[in-house]
Order: sequence, then C-alpha cells, then structure tokens
Amino acid sequence: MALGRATVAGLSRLQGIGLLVRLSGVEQDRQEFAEFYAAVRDDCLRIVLISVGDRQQAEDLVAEAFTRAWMAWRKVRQHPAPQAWIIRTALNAHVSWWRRHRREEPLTGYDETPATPQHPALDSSLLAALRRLPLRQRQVIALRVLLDLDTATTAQVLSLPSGTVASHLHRGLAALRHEFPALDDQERIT
Amino acid sequence: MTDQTTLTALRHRLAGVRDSMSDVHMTIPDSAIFANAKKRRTRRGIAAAPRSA
Repeated sequence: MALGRATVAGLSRLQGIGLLVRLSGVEQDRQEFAEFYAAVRDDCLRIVLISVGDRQQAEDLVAEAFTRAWMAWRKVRQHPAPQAWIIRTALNAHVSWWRRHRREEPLTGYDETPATPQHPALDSSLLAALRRLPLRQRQVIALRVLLDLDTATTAQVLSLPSGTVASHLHRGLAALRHEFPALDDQERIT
Repeated sequence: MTDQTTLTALRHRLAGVRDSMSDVHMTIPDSAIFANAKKRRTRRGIAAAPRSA
C-alpha cells in the first residue's frame, strides 16, 4: 500500500514535471512567435497592402495569416520562409472573422484607430494594374519581387512546380508590360 | 523588353513604394492574435497551445 502511494506520488510528480516542461515549451513558443510577429508584421502588412490596395483589408488579412501561423506555429517555424508563408496565407485568406469581430467586440487600442485614408504611395496606375492581375500572378510577384525570393523557394511556398511559378511570373510581367510598355522608364509611370 | 528587365524595373519601382510606406504599421497587438487563436481552438474543442509538428 505504501509502495502504491509512493508510486502514485512519483507519477504525480512526473506528471507535474511533464506539465511544467510542456508549459515552459508553450511559453517559449509564445515568446518566439511574439518576436517573429514584431519583426515581420509591418513588412508583411506593406507587401499585402501593395497587393490588395486597402489598408484595413490588408491588416485584417495579415492578422488572419498570423493567427493561422500561431495555431500551427511548430510547423510554420520550421518553414524555409515563414514570412513568405504569412504573405501567401494572407493573400489567400478570408477576412470575415476579423471584420465581424471588429464590429462586435472592440479591441483595446485597435478599434480606436480611426478609418485610415488610403496611403498616397498606393495611388499609382502601376499598382492598380498589379492588383488587377489574377491572384496566383499577384502572389508570385509579391514573393519574387517584393520578398526577393528565388523561383525554387517561391515554388515551395506556393506548393507549385517551379515551371508553373515561372509561367505565372511571365504572364504577370507580360500583362504589366502590355499596360506599361516603358516600365523601365521610371519617369513615365505615375 | 525581356522578363528580366521588367522584373528589375518592377522591383525597383515597388521597392520605392515600400520605402515610402514607413509610416504604415500593424495596429493589432500580438495579444489579439493569441486571443483569436485561443478562441478558435476552444471552439473546436482542442487545446489552446499550437499543434505539434
């Protein structure tokens, strides 16, 4: 009986230690994610904003992507390009949760932000043309041009063959070139 | 114009746009991200901690 109690006590202690180790691991994950969020959130927002053109929508999309990243953090942290994962997910995401949540339940320091006028840098015919491209072409351009990833990494992030990435990039660039024949002439693009 | 020329021009152009957005910041705190994820996981009946790899 005494042995039984000792065994139970030992098991409880082990379970307690296991729980502490797990909590410590979760806390470590949380800290790591918070650092990742702080490091790349603004850059992700700017890239998504260039791709979608609407500040509030871009922020909702990026928040949605980071939420999904945290929910699968142990997978995302091992991704070869976690920032690219965020941008791809943001451009794929639906923003219904954040939109609904913002209406129903104000977040301190977040919903107090007044409606933001569109950024002047977004007022460009080139960006408007970019936003008219199909989603895949925009994703490829966001990763290849704005994040400066190579074709192989872009293909890995988008789960596409490299040839398909090259094809999307070619079509996207051809469409932009069609609208802006002198794309390399900075003075002629407004 | 080749794709490479267009790519270089576009990269240059968009880098300028991005640089001019230095005043654009996320206003959503990380606590809202954690809280949202926790709510979703709770609703789905699974632990609030991130999934294992």
